Amino acid sequence: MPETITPELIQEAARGNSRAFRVIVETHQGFVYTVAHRFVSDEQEAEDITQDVFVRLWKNLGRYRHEVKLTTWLHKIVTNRCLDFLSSRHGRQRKNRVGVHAEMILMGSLTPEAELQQQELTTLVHQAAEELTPKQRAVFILRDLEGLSAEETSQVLGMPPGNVKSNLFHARQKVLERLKRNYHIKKEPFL
Amino acid sequence: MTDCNVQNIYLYDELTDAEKQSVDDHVAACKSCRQLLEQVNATRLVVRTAAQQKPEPRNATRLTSSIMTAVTSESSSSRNPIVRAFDQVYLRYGMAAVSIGLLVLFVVEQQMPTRHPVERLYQGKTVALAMPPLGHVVQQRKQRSISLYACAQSASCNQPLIASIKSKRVTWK
Repeated sequence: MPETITPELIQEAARGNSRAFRVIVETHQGFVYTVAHRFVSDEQEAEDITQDVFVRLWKNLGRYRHEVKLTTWLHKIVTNRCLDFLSSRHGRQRKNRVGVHAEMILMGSLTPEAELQQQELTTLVHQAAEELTPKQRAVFILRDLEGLSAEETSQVLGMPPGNVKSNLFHARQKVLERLKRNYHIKKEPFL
Repeated sequence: MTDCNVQNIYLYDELTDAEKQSVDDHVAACKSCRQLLEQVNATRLVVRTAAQQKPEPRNATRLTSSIMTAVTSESSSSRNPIVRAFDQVYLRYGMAAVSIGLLVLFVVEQQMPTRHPVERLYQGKTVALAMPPLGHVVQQRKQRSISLYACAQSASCNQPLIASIKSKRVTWK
């Protein structure tokens, strides 16, 4: 179980204590990797982005303000880094690639059929997310997959609440359409 | 009955209680909106399930090590005063300004008329070294006097010579 991140620990890390910083890395690298993977759908890219996010955190930790949650700050860094990646040439080339989510941890206590169906639905959700515009994808990932509040999402993206709502509406609409289309092709009732 | 507001159905969980009540009232009377709300709620369940399945790094320990290695190398390079100095924005701007200044000087120098090297040579201390030996000069002058004498003897040669000397306003003694 990772140690709790206290303001004192953050201060220690900001003073250059790498042991204190290692505790922060061990505590938060999991969620940073998850967010990065949800954006880029690639293990290696997600690891590279995670590493870059923590290097940026290390360089800028001295400017950290305690009134902002460290996780919110990390969400901001990783989201910006992922949006940069998606707007880069390499990111755009990957746009049409179908994501592979083989390393997903499946929920336990499910029958194999239910597990398969759940995996299929999850893959569909991620594929739908890949078809969204970068802003819609960012809002969808932060609000619906990461579970951030509307205010936190607005803060992380530096986007007015009205724009967050608008992007969320379009994102949800596209995800619903993607699920409906898939089930229509398979001639099965939607959900 | 209020008009269909599709956006409010998709953003049902974002609405205030009063707005939710308004949607509920509308949905109770509108079949298409009711169906849409059911689909939106079903999708939300699917997305929630997808949210619980978190991708994780294959080897978390290795990832931590690579992050710490990157951080350590970053901090050692930032401790180097030369690297740190070049990291300063003002220094970078200053270097850029100096480079542009040198470039402008070079272009201006190229545009200016070129002076003959001989002119520079006679302005400098190397003038004595660049002159021919004294004996050679005397010999040249002697040769020229002989040529002039020979020319003065010939009518076909002396007339143009005299004309050219007059045009240069040189006193002939």
